[in-house]
Amino acid sequence: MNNPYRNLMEQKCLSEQAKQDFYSSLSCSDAKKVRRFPLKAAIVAACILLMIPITALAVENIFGISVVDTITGKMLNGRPGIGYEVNYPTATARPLSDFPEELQTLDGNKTVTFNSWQAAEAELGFTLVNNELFSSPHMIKSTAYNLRYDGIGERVHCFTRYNGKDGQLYRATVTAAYLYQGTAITLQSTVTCSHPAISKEQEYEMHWSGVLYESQDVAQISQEQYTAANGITATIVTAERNGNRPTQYEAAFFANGASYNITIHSYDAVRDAWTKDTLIRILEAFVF
Amino acid sequence: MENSEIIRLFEAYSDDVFRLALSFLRNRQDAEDVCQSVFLKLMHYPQPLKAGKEKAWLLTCTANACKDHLKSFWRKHVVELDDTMEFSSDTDKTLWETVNSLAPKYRAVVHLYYYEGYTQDEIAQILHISRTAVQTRMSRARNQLKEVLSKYE
Repeated sequence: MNNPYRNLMEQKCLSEQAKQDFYSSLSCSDAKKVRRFPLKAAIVAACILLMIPITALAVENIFGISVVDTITGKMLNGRPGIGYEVNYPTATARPLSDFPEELQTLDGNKTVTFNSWQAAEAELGFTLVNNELFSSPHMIKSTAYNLRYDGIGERVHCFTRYNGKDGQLYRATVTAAYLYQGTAITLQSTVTCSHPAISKEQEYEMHWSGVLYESQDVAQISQEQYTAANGITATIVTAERNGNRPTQYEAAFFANGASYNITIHSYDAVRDAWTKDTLIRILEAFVF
Repeated sequence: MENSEIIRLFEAYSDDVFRLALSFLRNRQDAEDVCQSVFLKLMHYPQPLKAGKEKAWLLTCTANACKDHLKSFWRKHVVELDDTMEFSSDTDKTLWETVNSLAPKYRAVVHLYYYEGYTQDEIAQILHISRTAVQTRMSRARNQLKEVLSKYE
């Protein structure tokens, strides 16, 4: 069967670099191959697995808290008009000299994991977040991200994704996950730097933020502008979920040469008002 | 599974896996990552894949990995610039952009039908959907393609 689509796809092949990466991953993984679990470990694992639903049931019955994280079914497929999107036509790029020399000459993409947001900032060479709530002892680091597609294969608290092209960095995105007084929070910040091969429009797109929700998952989406006392004007998107699931709030704003995105939801729909209040407190606590 | 067997499968099918991932994700870097993860999964697969079913198994695994990838928070927020695609002609570029304007679930069906040459029943098995769903997606994809392509005429 011959057709234009087939002819087109025949030209797309896995790169030699990717093949070499696979062969080296295979030999590295081979060294890590483990024996079958001994019987003792299997019994302990079975006991732990048994305890999880029992504990969840107890927590649910005693405190009325659902311990199941219900953030599922969100997807982005590039189609505009469904869900929402936030754009920053006034976004500005940082000078390349703001970044450490070893990052300035990055070619291609790389992901680096960190134990804390501050460690990510230290590598980046400047501060992105000055917010007392994120240094509060109640703000607990969580390991929400599974970076298996980046060859890291573990759940991490914080990571930075660097993008480079033609031997020069053009974007860095820091992401971290937290638990704070009954809510789950993700904080993300993106900075870009001018690149000869990247247009202004592409620079704006790199600060683009948006979510498409599957219609069966979300009952209603609304958005509003919130201006904090510190001068931040954030777009807050509220996604009310079907069933008795917690509402998800997402705030996005651009300040101090970086775009910020904060996503928050509680573990219980009853606490939706508290969740939004927490998001507002986070926005108010930013200092630039 | 033994490494020698994984390498044999990788050499035989890596491009097919990559192309399906590319049709789902539209991004070379992501498609290469998914391709690698699909073959690395074989290390934990206890026995060799059934002869004759190897490619279908790998494509099913790829489709699942791509769906997971599309839903991930990571992809949601970080859409890479991908202008590394090279095309031999403007027609190819137009065709690529047109197919990419479809939703991922339609792109996958189009790819498996027009590139891999699978029947609707085989596509249903690979994507774990009903035959009727395949027919519906094919029909919608064709209609959307007609609509988009008519703008280029």
